[in-house]
Amino acid sequence: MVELVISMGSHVIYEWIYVGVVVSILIWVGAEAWYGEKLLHEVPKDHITIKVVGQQWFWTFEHPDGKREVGTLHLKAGKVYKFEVTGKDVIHAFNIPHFAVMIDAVPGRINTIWVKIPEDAVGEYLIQCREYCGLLHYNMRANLIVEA
Amino acid sequence: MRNNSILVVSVAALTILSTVGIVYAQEEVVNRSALAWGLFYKMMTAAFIVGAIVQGTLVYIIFKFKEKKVKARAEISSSR
Amino acid sequence: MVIEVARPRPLWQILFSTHHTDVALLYLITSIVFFMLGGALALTIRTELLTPGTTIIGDADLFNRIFTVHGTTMLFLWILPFISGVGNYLIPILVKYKDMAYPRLNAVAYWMAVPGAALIWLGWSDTSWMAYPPYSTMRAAGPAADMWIFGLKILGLSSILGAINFIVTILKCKHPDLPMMKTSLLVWAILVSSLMTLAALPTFTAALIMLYTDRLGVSGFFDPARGGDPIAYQHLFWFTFHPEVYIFLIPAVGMAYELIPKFSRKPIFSYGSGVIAFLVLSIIAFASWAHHMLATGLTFTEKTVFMIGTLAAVPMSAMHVFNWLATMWGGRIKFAAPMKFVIGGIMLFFTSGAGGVVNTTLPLDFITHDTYWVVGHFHMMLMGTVSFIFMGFLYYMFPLITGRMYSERLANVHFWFTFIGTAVVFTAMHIVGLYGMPRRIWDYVPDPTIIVLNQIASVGAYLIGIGMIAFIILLIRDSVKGKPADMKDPFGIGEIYYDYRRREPHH
Repeated sequence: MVELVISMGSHVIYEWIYVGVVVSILIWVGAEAWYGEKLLHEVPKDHITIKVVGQQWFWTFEHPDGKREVGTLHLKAGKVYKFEVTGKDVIHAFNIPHFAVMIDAVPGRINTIWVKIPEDAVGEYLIQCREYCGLLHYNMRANLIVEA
Repeated sequence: MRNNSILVVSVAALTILSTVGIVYAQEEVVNRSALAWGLFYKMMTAAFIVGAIVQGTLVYIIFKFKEKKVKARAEISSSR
Repeated sequence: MVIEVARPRPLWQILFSTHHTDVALLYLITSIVFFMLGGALALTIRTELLTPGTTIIGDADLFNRIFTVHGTTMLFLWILPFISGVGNYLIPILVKYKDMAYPRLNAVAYWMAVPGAALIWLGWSDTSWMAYPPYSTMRAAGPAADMWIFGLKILGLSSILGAINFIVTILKCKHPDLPMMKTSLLVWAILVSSLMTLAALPTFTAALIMLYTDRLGVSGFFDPARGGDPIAYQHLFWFTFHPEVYIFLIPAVGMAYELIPKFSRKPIFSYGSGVIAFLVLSIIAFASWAHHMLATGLTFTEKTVFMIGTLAAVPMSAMHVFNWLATMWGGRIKFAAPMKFVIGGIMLFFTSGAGGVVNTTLPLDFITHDTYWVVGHFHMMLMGTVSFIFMGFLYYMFPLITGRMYSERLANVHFWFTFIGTAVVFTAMHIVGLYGMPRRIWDYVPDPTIIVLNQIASVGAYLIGIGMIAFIILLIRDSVKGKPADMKDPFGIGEIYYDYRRREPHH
């Protein structure tokens, strides 16, 4: 190792300054990412839990009152929702691109993710599967309808 | 030695800044996609600035040190 | 090869030879053939995605099989055999030994790759190249998936044999008067990537056996109904295949180190930092595998650890880029085809590297994971950087292999079409991923933006296709009819070329 450092010779200083700059940038990136993830990780207290089940090749949703929906999900604007996501046969991924909701639906596991639907988000959105799950993976979509 | 101290100071400053940010974070429910996209734009800004420097240097090297130019420069300087 | 044409030997003499140049030639030809076949599949995929709905592929099943074979081919039948080919040609020359340490093992390793390739191409599995269970164990159609598992198993063993051979050749057969610190950085690159292969690959080969017994129904390693866990496979898989990314990259970096000083007519800026970056990266590469699995429900701590592991690998790549730029600075650069490809590779390397840093910032995973952003990112690395430097190095080795010179004009056509095409197709993929288009889909939402971006990507792919046609014409025409090369210094850069008399077979 000593031999290596000596072989770097007089170039050492420039290179270490450069590495220092790169490392500083990376530390900033890591800190920003860690902080953002921490904010998103803790589920807010007042939330409504929706059970989501993915199977080849459709989505089933269960509301807290036991009401079930297949292929369509009705949510209220301004509320916080927690999704408990699991897969029935193979791995899928529950994804609402517009609200940056994305978590794998793994058989034998329940993964959770939460989202606050903004007050002004009334409308229709796409729900899709993002993990390759076989023949009709491309068409494993559902509708998200946000009501006032 | 001086470079190391610059490095240490900058790392410490970044760490303190992010800690302060976390401590004083407000207790509101965050907007998930706004946070993710905000972070994305921040990262892309940084990436494009660094990219401009790196790619700019590379393009500069390509034009400055290509064979013909270096030869031409050498001829000028030797004729003087 | 044209030395072969000038002074022909019967084909069987090359096929059954154990001489390192002959085995290397077989490796190189095999890898280039599969590069073109895999590229044809890629063009089929891009044509299908030109419009929403059916374009040329009738059903999703065929499409799923095509992208599986495309991925497997490009990784295991193009990049890995090409590295073995270059290593076989040059390692004995660079360490001044008469051959590889185990010539017969070398030939065996090559001939194992042939049935492996045959199993993959005859099977047409639809598991995707990652073959995540439970899909691959419970739903994927046999015998295609079983053939895929056996094919990869054989290729894995072949890689391990090759790696052992390289390590022994470099460490034990190196000329005693040549200290390790005076060898080419390509030797270090092949050594480090071979050591990493030995450490990483056994995990995946074990996972393949577990996958197969799960498929047979005799075990339930990955089946939750029998107490297994599908996520366990992903850990085993990525423990091999994240380091594998660096196993692909490090030899390319070594080749760039071989080319840049020669074509800049300057010594390497800092040999030591290149070696340090290789060695440190070979260890840190093992600390970041789960960043491929951030959406599988990892805990916050796990996510943080793997993000730090991922970011920690970045300074090493940055050191290489610095070293390259500093080597070129103040030089007298000759832009022959090898140098053009290397510089194009460095440009795209920054793009993919920065994209990787953006990927690993945790909350962005919700936006980019399993979208076309990721597809664009790793293609930018594997095509834009690794394959670019490989193609450049192939041009550099062209006189050594054939004794002839390639046509610079046609190489120029190849470079510009491929470079512009690569930049266009993978940038468009990044952007379409931000619009939420998932990977591995046969049909997409007919949203106008997504349609336009897919069409831009397809046009880029066709540009690459044109470049590759020029490449094929060049390879065939110039290896048969090219001008004889000046073997002392074929590129006119005032540097000593490899010792070409090694072409005389002695086995």
